Amino acid sequence: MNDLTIAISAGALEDTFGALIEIFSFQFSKSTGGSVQFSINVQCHFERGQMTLMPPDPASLIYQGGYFDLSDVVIKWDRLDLGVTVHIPGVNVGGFCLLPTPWGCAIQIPPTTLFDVDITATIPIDNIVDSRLDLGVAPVPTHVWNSDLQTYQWLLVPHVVWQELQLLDIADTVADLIDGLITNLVNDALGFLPDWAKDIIDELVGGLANLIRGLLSLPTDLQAWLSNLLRVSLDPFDFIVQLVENYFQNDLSLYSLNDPMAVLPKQTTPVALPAVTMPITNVSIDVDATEVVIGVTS
Amino acid sequence: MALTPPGDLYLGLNDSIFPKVFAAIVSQRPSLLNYATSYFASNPQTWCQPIASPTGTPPVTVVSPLQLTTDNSVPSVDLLIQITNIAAGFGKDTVGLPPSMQPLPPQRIALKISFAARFSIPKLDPSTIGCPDNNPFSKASFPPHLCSCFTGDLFLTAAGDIMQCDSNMWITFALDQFDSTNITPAGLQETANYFLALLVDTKLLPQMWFNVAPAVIDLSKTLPASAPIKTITVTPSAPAGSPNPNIASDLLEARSILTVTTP
Repeated sequence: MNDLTIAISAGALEDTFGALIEIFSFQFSKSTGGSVQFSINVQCHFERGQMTLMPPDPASLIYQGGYFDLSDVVIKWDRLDLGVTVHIPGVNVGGFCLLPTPWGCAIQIPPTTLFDVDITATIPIDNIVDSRLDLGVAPVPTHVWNSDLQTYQWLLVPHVVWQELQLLDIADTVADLIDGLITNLVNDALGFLPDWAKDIIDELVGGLANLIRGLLSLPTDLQAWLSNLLRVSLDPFDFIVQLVENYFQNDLSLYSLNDPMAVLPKQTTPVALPAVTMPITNVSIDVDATEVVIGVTS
Repeated sequence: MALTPPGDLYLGLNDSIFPKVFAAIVSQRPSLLNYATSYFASNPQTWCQPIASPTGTPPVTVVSPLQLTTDNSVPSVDLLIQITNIAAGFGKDTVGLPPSMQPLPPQRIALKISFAARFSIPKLDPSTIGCPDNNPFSKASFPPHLCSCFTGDLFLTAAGDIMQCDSNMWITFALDQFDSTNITPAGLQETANYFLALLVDTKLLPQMWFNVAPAVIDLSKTLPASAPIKTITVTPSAPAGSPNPNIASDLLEARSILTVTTP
């Protein structure tokens, strides 16, 4: 039997907790290793989807207790930049006459080695990647020591009990973006030269863009390639879920109650007296389709 | 059955918490339950029941002696009142109300307050009376006579109300009926009833008033500017025809609706 019972309707939770998910924002970078290094620079926030209370289901294979179902949470990209660093090996050019004349070579191109450098380019891909997240969040009563307040507390900590990233939708304009990326790489490699010299060098190496394409091993299906790169190699989504889980479980509490709990506040006059407190032996939570019920027992 | 409809927020307090709160007050703030003049306060051997108070916590609230005349021509009377137990039933008579208060009306809390009291009344030492024509009591002595402790039970019924006070929402209680047992004759019983009711009304019941929630929760300073919520307003709201708060079946229940405002 609870001494104190607090219930909150599904509608109120959707208006508050469901909406407050929009305050979460993340900023991080990730990169791969290897001769061709891809990196991603992310700044994003959430836009709310729907929140539904799911009652306990003993037959569920994933989670049998009640939980909050946050579905269609949009990962809104404030910045999603894809970066590539590729090493262009040295290319031997020259050692021939560019302008032969009957009297000999007017312009001799001496033998030299071009490149053997790392080049880097970045393109924004926020407008071609659309992704959404479904989260199952179960509030779990936890008894912890709060060193700041110097008291034990009962907290209702939201635990992410399952998560699912909805299919990543990559727009078919990805080919244009990859072209832009390669153009940027070429510019990074040759940017210090005047345009006429770029043309000459490009001619000498047989097309630098093609060389870079070869180094990147770009397949025909660029959408699948980028999807695989984002979901497997760089995977910002898993990192976002980790950040959400860490934030929920370490920094967020849906409800907190000091243990012991003050039943009469401290008194300052006529005599200073400490608060009258009672121990809290248990805090329980029940989730059903219409409301969340918190039970407090002293 | 869902607890919140037609509102959003439900608060239910079971009367099972009462003995626990009382035990906490007895052990941590006994001065809320024990009232004594300085004579009794400084003589623990005169107390009707021993009081164990934590170090640094006064065992009693010191009150003024009963002054019968304004010119002090009659020495004042010392008193001790100790509340020894409180029992409560929300919407149910679990405390054994006397016949005069039965049945418990709907939407009431039944309370039983057990008390012990004692008086110390000055008694003139006749041998100290002076000459009648020269202020006979000027050198008179009035050694105190320590009367025996007596005990009684005060039964009360209280009604609850929800009050919105500026930005806070309170649940308050006030007495509507009271009676006592163990005290005779009727005039003395009535006097004791009203005297104790005065203490309960002014000292005890206000301690039971509690702040349910801020009526308006301003989140604009605690959340980032991008937050989709600015304020949450809590407004009492109950099903049509149902009281709010609702006091029945061992429970004190309050219901509210929440309104969220966006920036």
